[in-house]
Amino acid sequence: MTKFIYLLTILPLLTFSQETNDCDERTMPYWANYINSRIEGENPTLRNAFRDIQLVETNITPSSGFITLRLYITKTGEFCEMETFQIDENYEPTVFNNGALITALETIALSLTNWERDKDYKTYNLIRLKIKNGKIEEIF
Amino acid sequence: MGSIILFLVIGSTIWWQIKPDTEKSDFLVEAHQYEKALEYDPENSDAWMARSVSYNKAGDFNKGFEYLDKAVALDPEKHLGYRGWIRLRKMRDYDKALLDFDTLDNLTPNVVDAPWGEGIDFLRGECYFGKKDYPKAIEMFNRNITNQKEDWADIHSFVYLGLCEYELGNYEKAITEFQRALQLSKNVPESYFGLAKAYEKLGQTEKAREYIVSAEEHIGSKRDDYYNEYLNEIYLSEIVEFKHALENK
Repeated sequence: MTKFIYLLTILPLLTFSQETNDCDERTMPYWANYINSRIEGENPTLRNAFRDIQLVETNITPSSGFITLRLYITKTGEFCEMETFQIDENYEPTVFNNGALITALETIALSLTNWERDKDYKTYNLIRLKIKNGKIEEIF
Repeated sequence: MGSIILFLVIGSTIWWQIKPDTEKSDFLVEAHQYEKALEYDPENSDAWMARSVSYNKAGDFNKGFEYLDKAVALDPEKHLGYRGWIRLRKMRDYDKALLDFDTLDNLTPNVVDAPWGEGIDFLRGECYFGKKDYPKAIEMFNRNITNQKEDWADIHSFVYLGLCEYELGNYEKAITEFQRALQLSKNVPESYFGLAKAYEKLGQTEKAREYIVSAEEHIGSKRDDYYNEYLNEIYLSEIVEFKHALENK
């Protein structure tokens, strides 16, 4: 009888409980609360990851502009999702190489692991690329 | 109690109603209510500037500059320096950053400007360093040191001078500049790293080894800012890699 009552109590809780997902948590900006989120090895790691595409892509169109990859990372360092921003040299929206470049960059960004942080909050990290004279001139 | 609350409500309503719209707008900027602030005063440059901040920090420069450009158009003297600073530190758009710094400088004769708290010539030096125009960068960093005086200048003025001389192949001069930084403070790992590289170029491997150890020991004092990566930022991984290369010589 006791077991039956226990089951009756616990069953509704199990039925209505939702699976928690760290990606659903509120995102804190990277500059807030001393989160200090970064990839292991910091920016040299990023530059190594993008080195091959930097060498291969030498005729990007439009030839100048800026790309930002915004990667959302959980409090445990897992990747959630990515937003991208492509602008030309006048900071107006553009699409480099008819979209092929951003697709390749996203693939590389998705392969990045070992995100570290000083405080356990969901946050985002930025990877910024500067395009000049048809090449990826800087990654930071 | 009820009458006190009623008095406060009526009082604050009257206080708000008698304020001109420009003051209401300034008050709302202080309260971080930028959209509302602009409803009261669409010409409040501080509101446009403040509205741009989160977008630029988060890498949405199209949106961020839509607002920041309005702030500059309304009050160039007040906001050009910040816009140049954002272009340099967050975008590495050196040419446009220089344009902003130079325009600001022309607007304020007889004043040494300090965009976002940093010496304008130091920032211009960084722009030229980023453009790999090392002679012009040297000119700017030297001007910054003259303006700020040797003992008070940003210590990284000397580090950058060393880096510029190194890039120009003037290794002896580079050593002199890195040592100038260390005369002001012993906790400058960028200088130790620069010295190690310069001595390595001069074939003085033992000296290079000595300084790379110092760079590693002082890495905790490196120039660091988790908002932005500095152009002369160094990393432990690079020091360790260089140290191994020296050990194998």
